[in-house]
Amino acid sequence: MPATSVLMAFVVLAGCGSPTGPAQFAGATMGTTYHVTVNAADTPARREAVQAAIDTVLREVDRTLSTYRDDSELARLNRAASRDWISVSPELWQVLQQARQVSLATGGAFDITVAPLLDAWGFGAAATGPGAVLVPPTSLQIEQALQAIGHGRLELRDTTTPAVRKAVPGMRLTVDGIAPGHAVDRIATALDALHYRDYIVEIGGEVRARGERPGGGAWRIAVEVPRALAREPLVGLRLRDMAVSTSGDYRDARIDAAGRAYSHTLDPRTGRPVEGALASVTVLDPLAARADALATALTVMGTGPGLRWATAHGVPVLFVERRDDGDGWQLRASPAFAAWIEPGDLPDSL
Amino acid sequence: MTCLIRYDAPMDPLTKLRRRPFMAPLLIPLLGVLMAAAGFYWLGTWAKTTVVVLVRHAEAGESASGDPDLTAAGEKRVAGLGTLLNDVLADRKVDYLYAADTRRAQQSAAPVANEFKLPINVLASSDWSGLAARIKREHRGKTVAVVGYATTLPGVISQLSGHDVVMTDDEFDAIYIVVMPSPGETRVLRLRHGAPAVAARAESASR
Repeated sequence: MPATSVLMAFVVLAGCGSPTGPAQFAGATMGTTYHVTVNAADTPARREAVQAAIDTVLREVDRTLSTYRDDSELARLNRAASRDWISVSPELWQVLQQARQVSLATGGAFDITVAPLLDAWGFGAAATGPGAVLVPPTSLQIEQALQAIGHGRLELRDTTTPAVRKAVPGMRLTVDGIAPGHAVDRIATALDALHYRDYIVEIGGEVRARGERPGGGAWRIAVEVPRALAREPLVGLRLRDMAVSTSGDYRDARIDAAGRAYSHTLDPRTGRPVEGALASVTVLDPLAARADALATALTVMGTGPGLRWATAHGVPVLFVERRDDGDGWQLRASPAFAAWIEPGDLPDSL
Repeated sequence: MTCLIRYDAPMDPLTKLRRRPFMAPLLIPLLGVLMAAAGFYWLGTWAKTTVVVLVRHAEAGESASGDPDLTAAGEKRVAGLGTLLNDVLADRKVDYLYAADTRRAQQSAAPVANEFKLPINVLASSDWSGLAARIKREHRGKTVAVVGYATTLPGVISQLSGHDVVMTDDEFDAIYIVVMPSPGETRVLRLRHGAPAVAARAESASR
């Protein structure tokens, strides 16, 4: 599910990057950018070790999960046209397992087998980009794509060799809706292994923070106003030992020849883009991969069912909807979300 | 007396050709070309060579679980396996890759998977008995690589080729290539890869 997560603004105190202050690392990856801030005074050698660890993780994730290179492990799995068990690496197996858990928990609102559907809508790896005019598929094409998808048709096993089996040989997977979060988790794990306790990691809007920010206190980030051209904060959050992901389509919506806008988030149950007033969904979870996948799933479920699900499961979630009059935003949050809002920053509408 | 020719009367082909002498040089080569094309088509669809590469897993260590990883020597042995097969197969590429469902077999198959950008189809212990028949049925004309054990590979070779081979426990460098031309006689080639496994063991024992 390729719901692009919304970039979240960091609030990092001054002094970052100096030899005695917190170290910052940034670069390009997975078609977006990454930012890592480690709140520790380190030697240059230690900082090089952090950069090397980040580079190694991102290289491995790309080699395993990329849908844009034909030699990635996922691309090979997608090419496999048999019903045999196909062995997968522990890393790919972990991602598939996490995706399945979210699929099962949300009644199929998140589904990594939707690649044929994405291609039918022109949202897949071969997509022409947000600027291209969308040609919606016919109902028959959607039905045909639906025949080849379904998370329940992908079997996973973890016996002697982690392996997967496709019930439909032509099934293809896309993990774009969980891979950035997974990469964030892997970098966090690498920083843990280097004995860092205070850091924040972000890839394409997927954020995970541990410990304290420079100067003390929880890390502070902001959920953005869901406008294509705006970069202004809507709600401030205090993040400690937690990950956050925002799903929204206000930057990547596609337009057909008649000028109608389509969300790039597809409902795997209907085969069609999600519709309605929901502009963004923000989810908090200890794991960035799960937050990433849940943000997409709750976008598909919509505000009403999504809010009931989040409340029942105790998941902190914020739904931002466009007002009917087009002026401003309607915010609705699950009870667990309030604990993470910056004190004094509680919107009136909540 | 006038001689009338009836054009609606049946004529033998030679009579026709004699009446159109300029067509003969064209029709006969055309017929030949058509027959040759049909022959090539028939050969292309029927006459295919299937190649099966059977690789013994490399040296593995000990494990309480009974599913050990490759040793350092084993990892070193398989490191160049993908490149080696690419060189040996020349203009062919491995199309399908099977490996037993143990860590040592999967790790031995990984360089082949990486070299040819292939997924690894997992073979459970119950799959080995039907593997040869499956290869003949589903992979005709293709190149298939199989990574397995000294206890399973000889059976597959025998079912594919009718040749019996003996693979000893310490034969970690063994590669067998079964070439099955159709039509033609099936041949079995034997290669070694990496350091000589049996010699290494003998040398180790002598120390």
